[in-house]
Amino acid sequence: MPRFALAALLLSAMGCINQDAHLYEINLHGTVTVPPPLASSGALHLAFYLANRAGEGGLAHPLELFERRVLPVVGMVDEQVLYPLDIGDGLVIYGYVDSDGDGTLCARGAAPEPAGLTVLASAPQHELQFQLRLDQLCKGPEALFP
Amino acid sequence: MSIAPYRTGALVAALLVLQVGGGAHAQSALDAPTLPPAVSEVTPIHAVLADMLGGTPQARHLGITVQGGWPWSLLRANLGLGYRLTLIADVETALGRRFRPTVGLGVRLATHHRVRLSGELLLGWLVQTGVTGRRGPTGELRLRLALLLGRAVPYLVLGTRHTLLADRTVFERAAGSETSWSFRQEWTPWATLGLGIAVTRNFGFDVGADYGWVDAPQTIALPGVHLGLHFGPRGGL
Repeated sequence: MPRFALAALLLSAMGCINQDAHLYEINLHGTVTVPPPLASSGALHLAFYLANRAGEGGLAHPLELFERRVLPVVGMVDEQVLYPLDIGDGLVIYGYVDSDGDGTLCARGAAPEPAGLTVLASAPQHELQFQLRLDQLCKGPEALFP
Repeated sequence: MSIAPYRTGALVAALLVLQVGGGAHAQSALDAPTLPPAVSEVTPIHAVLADMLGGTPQARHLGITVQGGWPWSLLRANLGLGYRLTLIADVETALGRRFRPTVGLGVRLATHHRVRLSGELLLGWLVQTGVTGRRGPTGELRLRLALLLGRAVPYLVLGTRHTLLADRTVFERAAGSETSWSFRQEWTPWATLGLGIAVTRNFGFDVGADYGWVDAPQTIALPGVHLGLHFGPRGGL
């Protein structure tokens, strides 16, 4: 047994792989809605997070962003994302409508914009359905999760 | 007074004999050092530092360097191969977290009784532990310049180190797994400036400042210092 441990240690030290990423392909199918009277016109900004990032002690924290998308309008969504398997777990989708087109959620002096967040507990799976309701004004993902 | 011809011939013959005898004596004096002279007559006091700081010892001469410092420490052996070549083996570490064993060849580029200039090519493997772990094949091209000023040997080392780092990405798709590889390079320009002091012909030490800029230029570099002990040369291997 010590020989195997020594061999494993040696191979680990002499290995040549540095960053070893495992990405899980997820096809997301869903609907994004904005309840009236909130403004629903404008680009839809989506952000995909790991719910919990692996870490120890003070280095552990929620919400690790791994992908972003910008879609022209609110409505049906069919997107493919690559979910990182090794650095955390859980899938969170956050979105907001950029109604004034400045690329920023609720910039100072600008009109309030609707935002929302949903947690997909069944991730990861290759096919996932979701519903995202943008009914919170000017709230970032940290304010909505957990 | 006149000299008889036969006497003149005898005088010339005697002079020739004396001349030939003197020449033979002088020639035998040139051939005389069949025994090796005393070590102190052929080995300068800075021999160990010239070999280890300036590089490229004589054939079959072995030198060892043990260097400790912050953050860099190393163990190095130089073995002279002749024809101005040297076999080099060294193991370097930074704070016990980054290790780089290498072997290589050195060549004496210029030699003078006051100057030693050598070039070195080293190949090896880098292993860095911790959250920023790195591993991969590495190579270094290095120039050594030492000024031989008696017991004092100021020196300069300039090097460029390159490490190939391989990254693997595995895609888990519905249709199956797919693996892709990508490669990046870590560049570490290097400079050491120091002063060696010869204690004996076979032992000396040096203090120096190291400036190794790991993963330049997207990082910052902290200068380091070291104390080195040098042993050698030991001939007749």
